[in-house]
Amino acid sequence: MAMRVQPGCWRLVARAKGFAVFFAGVTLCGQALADGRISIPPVERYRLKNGLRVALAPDPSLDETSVTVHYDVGSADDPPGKEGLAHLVEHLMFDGSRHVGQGDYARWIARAGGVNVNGTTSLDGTNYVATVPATGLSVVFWLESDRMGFVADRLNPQIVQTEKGLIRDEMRDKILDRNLGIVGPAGWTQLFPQGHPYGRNQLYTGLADCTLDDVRAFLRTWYSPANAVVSVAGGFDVASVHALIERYFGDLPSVEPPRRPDLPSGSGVHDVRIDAGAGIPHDIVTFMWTAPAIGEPDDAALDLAAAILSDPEGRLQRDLVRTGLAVDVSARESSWRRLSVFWISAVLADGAASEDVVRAIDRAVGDMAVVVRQEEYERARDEWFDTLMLRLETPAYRAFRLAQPWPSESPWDLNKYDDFDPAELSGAVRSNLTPDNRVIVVVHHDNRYPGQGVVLHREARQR
Amino acid sequence: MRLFGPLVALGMVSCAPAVELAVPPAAPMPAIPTDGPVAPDTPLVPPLRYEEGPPSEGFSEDADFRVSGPPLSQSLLPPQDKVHSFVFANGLHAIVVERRGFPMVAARLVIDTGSALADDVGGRRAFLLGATFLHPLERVIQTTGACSVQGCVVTSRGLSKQFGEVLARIAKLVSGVSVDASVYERRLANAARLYDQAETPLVRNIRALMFGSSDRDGEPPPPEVPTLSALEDLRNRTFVPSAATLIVVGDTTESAVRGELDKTFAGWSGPTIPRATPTEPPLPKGPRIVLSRNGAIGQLWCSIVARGPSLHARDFPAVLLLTQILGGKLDSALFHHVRESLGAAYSVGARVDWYRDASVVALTGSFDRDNAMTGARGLLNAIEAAREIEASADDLARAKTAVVAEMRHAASTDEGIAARLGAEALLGLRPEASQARPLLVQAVSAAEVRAAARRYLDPQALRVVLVGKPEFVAVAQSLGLGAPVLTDRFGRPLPPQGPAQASAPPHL
Repeated sequence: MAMRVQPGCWRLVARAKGFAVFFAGVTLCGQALADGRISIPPVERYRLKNGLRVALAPDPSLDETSVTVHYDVGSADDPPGKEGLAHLVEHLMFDGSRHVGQGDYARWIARAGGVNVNGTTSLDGTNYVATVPATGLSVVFWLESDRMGFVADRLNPQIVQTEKGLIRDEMRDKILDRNLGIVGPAGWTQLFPQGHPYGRNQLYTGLADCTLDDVRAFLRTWYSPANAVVSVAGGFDVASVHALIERYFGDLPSVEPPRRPDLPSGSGVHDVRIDAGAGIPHDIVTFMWTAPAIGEPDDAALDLAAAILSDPEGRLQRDLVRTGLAVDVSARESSWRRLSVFWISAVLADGAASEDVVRAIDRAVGDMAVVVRQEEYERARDEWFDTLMLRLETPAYRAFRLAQPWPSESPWDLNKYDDFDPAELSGAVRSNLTPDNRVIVVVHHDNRYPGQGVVLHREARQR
Repeated sequence: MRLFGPLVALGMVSCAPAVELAVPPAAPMPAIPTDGPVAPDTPLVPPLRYEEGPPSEGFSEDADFRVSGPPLSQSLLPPQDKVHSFVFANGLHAIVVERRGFPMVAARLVIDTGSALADDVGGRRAFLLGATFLHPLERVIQTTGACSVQGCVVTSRGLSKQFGEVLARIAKLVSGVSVDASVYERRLANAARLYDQAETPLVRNIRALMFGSSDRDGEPPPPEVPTLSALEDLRNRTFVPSAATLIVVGDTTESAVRGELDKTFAGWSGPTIPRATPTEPPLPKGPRIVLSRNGAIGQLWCSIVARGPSLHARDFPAVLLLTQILGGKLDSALFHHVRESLGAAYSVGARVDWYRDASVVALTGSFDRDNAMTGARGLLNAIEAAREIEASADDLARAKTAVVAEMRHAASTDEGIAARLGAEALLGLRPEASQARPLLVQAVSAAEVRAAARRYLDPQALRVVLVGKPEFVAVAQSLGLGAPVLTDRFGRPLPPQGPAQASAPPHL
């Protein structure tokens, strides 16, 4: 067995004895920081013959075990006119499969002691998660393999219709009836380059036109072992899990997923301002910029910049909340695989003028493009590390993270935000958070539109 | 798997009269600008494969191991971590749970504010107390603090080698160290603005309906925001070690905690304050159904609520299971009947919240306009089914496994254990109580679950909180509980012909 060292990883180039039947290759990635802050047992990654990627993160110190099944397809892959199809398929995955009756998925999981059972659809991917005692893993694998292979067998038009209605409810529940949730759709379509799949609105306007045939075609195209990752993290016996995964997933038929077309590059906007109304209690001003994709240069620096701007004693609090312009203000970067979005959002105080808030945010960002102080960077870095620790205590986060096809140097990215020069942060702000790369959305409190989401009033390109 | 018993019955049971109502049609999805730079016919994504592929060779989709599921194992109890409990020299009660797997420590300090906030209807003074004084003094990672009418909670966490700093953060917040008064003034002013939105109108209306919108002497809450000096006086009376319990969970030892307490909490002192005596307040003589007017949401939020037992009561495990069977998880009656069969709501479920001297059982759903009546009735039908039909052995076994699994899950992280012990300390429960609870749950019979349903979910004891537009009054009337009382977001009755919310758009 030949081995060579990679950063934080041991890669076994030859097949591991005893696992040769199962694995095309095995990678073990350990993580122990140089400063000794924390050590997590190594991660094992391999592929089954049908292309299914497997990631195992055993840790005997954890009482529970979590499984994530990730499909490399998300709402950005919805065909034009069928917006909402990826999310619809996610819902239908809980409605039974060839050997699991409708409603029985939840019953089996409950009897196996499952918690945190869920499915989520993002722009990039779809995840199915569950946490069980290790004794329940065989049930999870059986259920997941049955729906990976045969979910289409139990579908019918009535089920599809019911789930379409529930997704509309979900949109109202999570977006239209939530104050900040409605801001995104108002500016979203303006933000991305022409032709970019992220640029369609996220309210699933094509859902009504999705048919059972579309669902079957989507499953046939994307829901294949070769386009999926199964990850397991927690306190489990590795040899038993090897055998169970091979048993349940090893012979599932597989097809290669299609290649995605190259995406247009550049910015989609040039300083657009949107004024809109909604039945919300306070006006909301939101700035959105497109930013580099996850793992690209400046992505991590902008994560830190968002943390600095959100600091409860930091720049935005000083300039907006303490001055009485806003009651709440936040910043974040949402990183995706093909592009990211940097947000700053302020909930205005009664009587505050949106123009003053826009100017104050502009000023705060401009200041940051000039200088970031060392102590600001260190607080942001420590916050990221501490948040990561909070998450890594749970097998659910470990399994979820391992299943994502994110670029990273090590399984947990413990060092991702170390060793930055504050000048890199101000440089990233200077390069990316520019006026010609942004959309400003001002949603006014307007009781003419109660419960109807955002209604566009006017749109202006500022240059 | 057997069919879910109560689910079968749901369609046959109704406690509400059948009334035909003219409900306006569902609103269309709102108009969002779609005329951006993306042309809809641009081939953004690969085409789907509509043609069936060739069958796979040598593959049996009906192999034995696929047809029948794997055997189920016995439900596992939460691990029993070693718990140390002692009283520090200044009267501070400390609970230490040693867990050595992950190099982190979670600490949580809870303060029983006793009777000092018993008259704080709506919890505004408590909210302001926490927001003003328990906000971290500087940017401190993962340190939070807040107060409610139940008491105050401060949490912090960090790597185990930073344990001293973790405790020092908490001590700094509660032991009276002051920052510039202008900082407190600013926080108070901001918190006063945020209070209106700090909780949803659903939560506030439920609490008003269950516990009243006036204090126990019948007095309404004072309208003015308390001054900073009044809040400082409240802080000085309540933030005292004898009323506090410090919980430390994680990679540390009892002796290490004792050593750090000497360094961080030894200087904290104060008078002893009497603990509030748990006495279950009578159910207010309010309306049986309220509609909290809210024009900002398109859906109807609906909760059917009832007062349940305190955490000290013998039948609380049965109430836990009852709630689980009704709407605890994806396999519950509400999920299948209201969501999957009726398609009436994406969000639907049941939960029980414990207060110092009582609990509240709530079945909740968010319904679109055209599903509101069906969905609200579905909630009532589920309650009626639970009262009339004993849960099947399979349903009960599954509920027990699920409830114990949640307990196990809550005990799987330092933070989860600290949260549970802290909440129970505020209710006067000792750590042994939560360790014994899984066994109590496993001993409950189906008859006891049904008895709990009959006792606590009696039709006369049920109250309904609706939040939505005034037009949903028709749905409210259809439920057979009388005409709804219109309320504001705090649960205060509105005049019958009260003014609508400001209608003129102020900016455009």
